[in-house]
Amino acid sequence: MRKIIVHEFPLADASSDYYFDMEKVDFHDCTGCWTCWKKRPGQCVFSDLDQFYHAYVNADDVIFHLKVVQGFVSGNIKSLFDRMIPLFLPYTSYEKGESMHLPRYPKYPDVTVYYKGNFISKEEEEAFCNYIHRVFYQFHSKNIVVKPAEMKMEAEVMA
Amino acid sequence: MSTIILNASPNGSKGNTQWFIEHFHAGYTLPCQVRYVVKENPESLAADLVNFDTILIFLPLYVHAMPGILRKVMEKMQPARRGQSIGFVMQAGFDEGQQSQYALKYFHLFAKRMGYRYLGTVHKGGCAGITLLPMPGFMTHKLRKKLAQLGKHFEQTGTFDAIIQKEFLQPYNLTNRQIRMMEFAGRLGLDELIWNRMLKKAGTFDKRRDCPYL
Repeated sequence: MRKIIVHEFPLADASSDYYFDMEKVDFHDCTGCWTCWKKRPGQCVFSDLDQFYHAYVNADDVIFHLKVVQGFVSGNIKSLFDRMIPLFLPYTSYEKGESMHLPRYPKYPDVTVYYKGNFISKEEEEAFCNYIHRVFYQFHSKNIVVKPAEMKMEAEVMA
Repeated sequence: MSTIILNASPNGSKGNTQWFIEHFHAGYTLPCQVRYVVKENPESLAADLVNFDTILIFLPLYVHAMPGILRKVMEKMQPARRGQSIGFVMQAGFDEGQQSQYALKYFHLFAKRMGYRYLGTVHKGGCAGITLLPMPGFMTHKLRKKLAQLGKHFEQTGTFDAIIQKEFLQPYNLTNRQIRMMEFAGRLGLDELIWNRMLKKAGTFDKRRDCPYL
């Protein structure tokens, strides 16, 4: 069972095979150049996320610890999502009744997202959770769990 | 009344977002200032936005929301001053309007949270080929005309033309018939034709399904 953790805030966790600290790793924003789909299929024009890509597609589980900023994901996380496009094919599938990019890899990890931050309404929190679900559904993850970080801390206290 | 247009595409002045701005502006008598997010420092650009009554953001849909570079500006924006408005014009590759629902929802909530008068979001799908191919003029004639109408209406009223906004959002979902047709085209290899042509031109066709990170 290979597990990786991507975090914007530290949270006690069992050991992982790869740790991606968003506060420490500086990476480029997506430039929309489509090198990853045309000139070097599957590879981004920048090599600053190569270790992350390798860890992600070879993982069984990916745990995200995300900060909520103005009721949404941060700019850094949004850029990370944009930069994940090389992991998928440019071709479109309609198998699920809508347009979706075809997978490039034989499998993608299950994803659990723990989020921390303030929402000003239930509607905002719901929109945030729906967005995260949709991103990883589009990214072909089979099991996607999105919950507040406090739930994880409470579970640990109970244990 | 001062309006600023932000081009929030990572491609800056090249690409579909710029194409949208140019044709939207074609309907204007007095074009407004356009700034390119990709060329700016997020913090100073966000600070400058307080000087405008209306902020119009043109963007491509990236992973069901705004590109990261725009998100970085938005997170630096301060609450609106009294009477400030914000609106969005978004274009996407996939045909269905529903692909934009997460962004539409968030833009509305963002405006509410920050105290802006929300002008709405115009979304147009099926735009991948406009500058990528590029599409011949007759294929984009109707869209260009509608964008100019949208711009003219916006300059005159400070709002989006609700009819065009509604029309652009269609098809919201693909019908079963459309899906069957797309799948049939897929079995014939027609949907891959355009990409394969580009891959062949780039000399990477044989590598198109590579999995370099396994």
